[in-house]
Amino acid sequence: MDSDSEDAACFTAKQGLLNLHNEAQTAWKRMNKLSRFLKSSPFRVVAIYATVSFLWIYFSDTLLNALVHDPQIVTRISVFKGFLFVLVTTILLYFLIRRDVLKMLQRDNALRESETRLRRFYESGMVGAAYWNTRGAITDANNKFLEMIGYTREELTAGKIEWNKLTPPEYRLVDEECVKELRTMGVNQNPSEKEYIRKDGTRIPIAFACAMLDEENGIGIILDITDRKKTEEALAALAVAKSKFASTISHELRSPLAAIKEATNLVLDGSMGPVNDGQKDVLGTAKDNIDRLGRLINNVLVYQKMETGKFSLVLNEDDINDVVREVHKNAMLLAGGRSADLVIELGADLPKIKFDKDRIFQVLTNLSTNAMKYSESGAIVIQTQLGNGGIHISVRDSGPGIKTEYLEKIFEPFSQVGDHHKEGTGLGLAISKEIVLAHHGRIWAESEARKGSAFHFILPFEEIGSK
Amino acid sequence: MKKKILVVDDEASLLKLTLLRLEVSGYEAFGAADGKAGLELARQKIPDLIILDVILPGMYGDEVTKTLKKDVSLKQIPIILISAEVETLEARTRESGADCYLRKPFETKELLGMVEKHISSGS
Repeated sequence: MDSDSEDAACFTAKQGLLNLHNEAQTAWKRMNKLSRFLKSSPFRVVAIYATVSFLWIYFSDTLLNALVHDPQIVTRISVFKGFLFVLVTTILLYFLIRRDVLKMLQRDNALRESETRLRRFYESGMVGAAYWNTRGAITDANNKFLEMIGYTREELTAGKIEWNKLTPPEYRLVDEECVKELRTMGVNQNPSEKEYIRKDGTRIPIAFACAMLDEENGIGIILDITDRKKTEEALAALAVAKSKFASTISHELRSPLAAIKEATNLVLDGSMGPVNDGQKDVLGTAKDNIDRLGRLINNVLVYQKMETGKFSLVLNEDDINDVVREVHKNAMLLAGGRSADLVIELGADLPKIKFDKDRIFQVLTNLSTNAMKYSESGAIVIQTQLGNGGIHISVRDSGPGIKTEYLEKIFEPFSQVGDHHKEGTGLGLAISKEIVLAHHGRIWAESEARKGSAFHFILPFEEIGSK
Repeated sequence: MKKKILVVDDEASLLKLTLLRLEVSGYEAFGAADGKAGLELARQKIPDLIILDVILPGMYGDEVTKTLKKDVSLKQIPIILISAEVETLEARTRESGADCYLRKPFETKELLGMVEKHISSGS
């Protein structure tokens, strides 16, 4: 309650100060206006003229009467005094006005110079520029702009160009947003992109931004972005071609691989006659590598899909510890003799969060297989805990470690680093990274030379929209 | 009597090896290199199971499956679709009415397991 009333008092005081401040500001503004009027040249000239005239009339006769007593001489001097008055005030007026006229001429010159500069920019043709009004007409434009939209200056002068007819209907929303911003800010902070319909009906991609000049008129700067759009389209086509290439290649590789695999199996399992131990060993190596090639082809496809954003998560509320237990069970089977070295430390009372169970299983399998591959002895620990705005999962090994300069690079595709080139597809970490990123999470590695590496990733609590 | 299996694949080497594998596993296996020939052979020999590659010259494996499933005398024959076109395989299997699918390259164990399961349930 105390703090509430304190707050209220504080608020009132603040409000009072604010009012005072506003009043002071208004008074100051009024004063400024008055002083500006007093200093303004017509007023100043008239005031000085009036003062001098008044003083002259008032004091000259008094002075004359005091100094000269002969009425004849007074009359003669009076005539001369009138001429002197005209002469003095004329000189005075000349100097007073000259000062102001000179100042005005100077200002005029500066204005003309800045006007020339602006006009040169306007007519340079670097960008299209157009003046428009809120009634929809384009009132003036430079040649570059006319060239862009394919109209002539005569058509412009005849008032035939209306900006809202230049814009295709599907971009009306872009225009509306810009108008809204112009109403509130007076200027478009950032350029927008849209198309114009040229006179011949073709379209031209443009970027533009406008500014209001007064209540009804504004100026727009328009840039022809045809070249950029072409480049963007070419890049998009290239990405499609690349994706198609990867997918075709992996399909084409599968069929011969299937034949090689079946042939090897037929010999290896004795279907074609007895096989001795040496032959079995050699063929076994062949078979392992056939399987590795198969995994690589799969991963290329998977990674390609992820890279082009063509995969979607299947999100369900799940317990991450269940997934870790499953990975652990699988890894133990694979590790065989080394199963004792694989340890899990599961955080208690972890909340259930939404994630793609299969994909996260894939990430954890990748990380734990890597750990086993690179560390010949020592424990591998998979840990789950709360932290960093989500659930923090880490996989630590006691392998040779990773050099600091490689800690980020290892998440790039085909980037097995150092001299420990182990069998792998070179895509496991890249795929893991894509999966974690798709969950709006974060993945990173830490390492100390000869003390092993740790891979961490965070699955955030925040709601993840399915992509 | 040996169970009869028809294998349709345009990849000659894989066709040869699959036939060999099925024969050493105790089946009578015969092959065709395209969909049309496969259909004819199926009508002629009435196999106990058909293994169909999807991407075949002329007529795709899923179309062959649809044709077979429309034929009263052949529709009970179990069909396994195999393909290197792994992304569309599941959908093609579902739409065509084939019994199951296998991605190339497949494990011998997987193939034999699938054959055994469907050949016994089919007859």
